[in-house]
Amino acid sequence: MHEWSLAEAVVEAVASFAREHGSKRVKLVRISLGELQAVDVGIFKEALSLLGESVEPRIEGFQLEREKAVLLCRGCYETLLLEELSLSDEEREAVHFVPELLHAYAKCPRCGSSDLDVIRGRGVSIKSIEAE
Amino acid sequence: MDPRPAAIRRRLEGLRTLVVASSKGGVGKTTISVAMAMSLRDLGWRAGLLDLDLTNPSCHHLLGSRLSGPLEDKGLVPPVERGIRFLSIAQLSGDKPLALRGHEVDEAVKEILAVTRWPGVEVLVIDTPPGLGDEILDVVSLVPRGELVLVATNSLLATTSLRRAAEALAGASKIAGVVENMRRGGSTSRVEEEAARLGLRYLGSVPYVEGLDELVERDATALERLIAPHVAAVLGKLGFERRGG
Repeated sequence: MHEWSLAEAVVEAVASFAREHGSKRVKLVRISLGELQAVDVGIFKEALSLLGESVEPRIEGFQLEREKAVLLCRGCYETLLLEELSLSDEEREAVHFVPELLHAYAKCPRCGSSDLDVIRGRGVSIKSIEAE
Repeated sequence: MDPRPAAIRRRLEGLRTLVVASSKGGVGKTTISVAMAMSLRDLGWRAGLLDLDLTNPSCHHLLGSRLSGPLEDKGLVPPVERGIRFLSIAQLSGDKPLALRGHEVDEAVKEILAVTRWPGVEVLVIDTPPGLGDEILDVVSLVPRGELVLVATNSLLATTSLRRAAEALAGASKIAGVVENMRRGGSTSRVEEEAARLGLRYLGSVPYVEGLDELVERDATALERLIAPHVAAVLGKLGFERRGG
């Protein structure tokens, strides 16, 4: 359950930020989930809820937004979507842990380069924190 | 907002972290890193080893690792190999070539540090690639109370690099001291002189061993026998005394 460690990172970062800014309540945290990291939303949500209860200040709600992965091939300067790359389940699993491992497994279907820049949709990031 | 720096601080709090670094290649950072982890284990400490050379990982060769993958348990849990909890990107990439640009190295280092758990580990040795790039800058800025161990050999190029690294990293992190690698008997030590000039602690030396790579390839215990005992003296200066039995 690698999702648990990602949820821990989010909750720890939000709680630290809230404490530093003297907030007593965190009402809502908006989180972007990049397609490349392929986070299991069900497990991630459950971990966020449990962990959000256990920090000070408590985090009352989370809103998750998926972000599609867009890549730029530095070989031919074409943009690519994740579904255009052929990755096995095992390779997807490795990329799920460390998205940069994409460079070990994927090649541009047009020019064969593995120099693929992730423009959008890499992984987990905190978009906004509503607190008072 | 990036959630990982806060997670990294939490993951590594309570661990002593030895960061083996040099701005020059070829001085034997990986040999020293792996020997340090082995030596810590032999002295009775629970050791971890993290190979942060993402584009050219090689700790696994010296450790004689089978490259078993990490376990997934509320994060990544590195396997224990030869009594050392060990993580390398090669375990996840199947040792395939991995070419990364600077910003990708930065992302990958943060990701690895944030999601890896080191259960039971008291001392984590981090092997870094040569240079003053993203890996070392990330470790210095993100790892709480990391202790830099700078490695140099007795040459003008290496001592010049030592000075650069010491000046670039001073203030950003605690420099625990300098280890001289591949020391040959009888010669005066530029490394010792340069460490004194820089006000850094000279932690000791590891002798030059003819054909070490071939010896390690033939015999997995060569590093433990020939290098680790010298590294134990260095570790003693850092406060790692023999414990237990």
